Amino acid sequence: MPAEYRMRMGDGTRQWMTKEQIRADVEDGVNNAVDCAEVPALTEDDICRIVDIMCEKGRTVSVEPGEEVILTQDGGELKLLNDSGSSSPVLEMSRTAAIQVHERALGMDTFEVAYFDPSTKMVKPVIGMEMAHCQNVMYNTIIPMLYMFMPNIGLYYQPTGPFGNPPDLMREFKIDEAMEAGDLAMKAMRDDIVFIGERILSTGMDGLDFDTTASGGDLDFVGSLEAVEEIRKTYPDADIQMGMSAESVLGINGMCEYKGQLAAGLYPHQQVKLAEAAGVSTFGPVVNTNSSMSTAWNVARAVTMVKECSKVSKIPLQVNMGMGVGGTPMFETPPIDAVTRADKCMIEIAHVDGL
Amino acid sequence: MEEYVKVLHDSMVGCKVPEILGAVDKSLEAGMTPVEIIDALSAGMSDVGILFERGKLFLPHVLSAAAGMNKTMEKLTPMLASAGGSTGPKTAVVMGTVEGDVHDIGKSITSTMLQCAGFEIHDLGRDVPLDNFIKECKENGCTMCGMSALMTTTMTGMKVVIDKLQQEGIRDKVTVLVGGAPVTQGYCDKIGADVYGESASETTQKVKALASD
Amino acid sequence: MGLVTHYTSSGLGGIRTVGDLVGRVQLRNKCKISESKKYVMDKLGIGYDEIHDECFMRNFREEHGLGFVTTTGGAPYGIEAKINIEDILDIDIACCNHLREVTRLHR
Repeated sequence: MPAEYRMRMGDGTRQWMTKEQIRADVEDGVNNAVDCAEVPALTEDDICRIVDIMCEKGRTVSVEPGEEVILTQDGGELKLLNDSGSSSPVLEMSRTAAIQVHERALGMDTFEVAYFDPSTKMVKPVIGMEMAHCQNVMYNTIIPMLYMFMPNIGLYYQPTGPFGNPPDLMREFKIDEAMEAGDLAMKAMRDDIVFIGERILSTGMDGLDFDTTASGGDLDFVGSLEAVEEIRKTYPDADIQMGMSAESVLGINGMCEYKGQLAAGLYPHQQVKLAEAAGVSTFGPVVNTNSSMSTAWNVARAVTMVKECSKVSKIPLQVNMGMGVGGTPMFETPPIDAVTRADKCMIEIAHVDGL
Repeated sequence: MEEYVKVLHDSMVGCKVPEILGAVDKSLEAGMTPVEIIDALSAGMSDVGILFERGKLFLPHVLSAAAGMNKTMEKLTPMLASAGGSTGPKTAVVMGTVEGDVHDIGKSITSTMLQCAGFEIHDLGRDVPLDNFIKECKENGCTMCGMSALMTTTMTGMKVVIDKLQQEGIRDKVTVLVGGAPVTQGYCDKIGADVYGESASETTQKVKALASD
Repeated sequence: MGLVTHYTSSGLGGIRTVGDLVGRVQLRNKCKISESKKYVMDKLGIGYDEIHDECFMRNFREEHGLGFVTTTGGAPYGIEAKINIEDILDIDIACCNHLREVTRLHR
């Protein structure tokens, strides 16, 4: 009877697998990444390394001393305080105290500060309060602090926004109207991002973090890139981080470009080049976890895509490793055996600069 | 006929209406039946959905392919009727993002793909009061109910809708589809939903398979 | 909710070691992790093993007023520590510049 190893599925459930089964899943995950993103496959050494890491007996695994990377938390203080899209611990403390907990007790190297409802459209009306909060944070913390908000073009579409919803209009075959609505929403979102960004940076905040960029597809991505370019004119030295929302940019418009490059359909190794061109300081690629496949499959797939991204990128990469991305299971409190294995593979094989 | 099946499939994946209609005309001349043509185009439409999700095709392409499919159906439906067959009434699907949740890109794309696959879509949008799903099933003939959520706090509404369908005595008449980032097959099984799709194209394929049973 | 997990498996350690300093350099200079670490090592005048060592860095940070997890009474913290970080890393920190602009403090 061949030995079996504890594995997890993409939804966090436990699964026992033999080494051969793990190897087969790793190869399949790699091939899937090659097929989807058109990136080179991992080497045989890389594949063997992933299998070895997955089969390590310890509950947790870690990188070797000296190989540690930058750790940041893009969810902000609201990860401790309130519902940020997933049910939270709802700990009662001030926002500044929550940030200091991350700095002093949780070992963060850099951090992102965020409003309770961190979409661009929701932050704009409370910008005064956020500016004051940022000033308070900057006086009372040491680690680099970025202000996080989500471009989220979706909120600019009806019913929450003034513009028609392109997917809905397209379903009615009102293609021209859909394109126009998307364009107008993109411009409005871009202008609001610049509004927020410039005001936050004026308080002395270290920088900005755009979270879940391209959640609304290619228009969301291009609008965010244009906003970064605009902000850079006034704040050339600001630290600007861009984290993506999915592994490929949805082609909702299908024709919008940034600096002559079509934005739709881009994968991480292509997205990062546009981010570089816009002036982004660090880039956070995303690879989605498939909840029906094993952690071995998911990690292999994620590492394959991110390795190529790391290879072509001139700026540092801080890969997203939260719930449901980067090979991490889609579970609110992801199992530590899966999380640490995903981390180790991502650092040792994809050579990322941070998580 | 194999070559015409391929021509039809490829024309659909090419997403250009004139080419799709041209392929249909050629296939009819070659003696393919309307049903065979529709099946070949449907297979092409499934691949269009997969290619869209992989970033090889974009939403306007998907809609262009759908327009080609619609025009084809306009042409073929009278032929089906005169031959004694029919395409049958469309299965009506109510779609929406559950109450409290304003994320709808994934749901909208799924609605689009299901519409392209021949379903009648009643898309209620986002932040949909849970009772509205029930109302659409009871009053407007929807036999499928698709719910999306992007937050673990709002996905609990899906179970409430399923319980309400049970209380109304129509649970066995309605197929429940669930999806969204925090939703998994395990969650689908736990709440007693019928179909979970990891992606819009996977959902569409599963729903098509169910509808043809 | 898994930050501690990530930290124990792969994080630099923030103000327990040089994580914040390396992070700051990485963001500012847009450079990869190895270059960022080298920059910090060169500026601090210490070696690779030292920058990753919590015990060594506790003393180093205290001596140079760079701030630490458990602040002792009167030791530089918050923006005070960041002004010292500016000097030792030879970079500008936005909030320190802002403080100087709105007060009469000069670098």
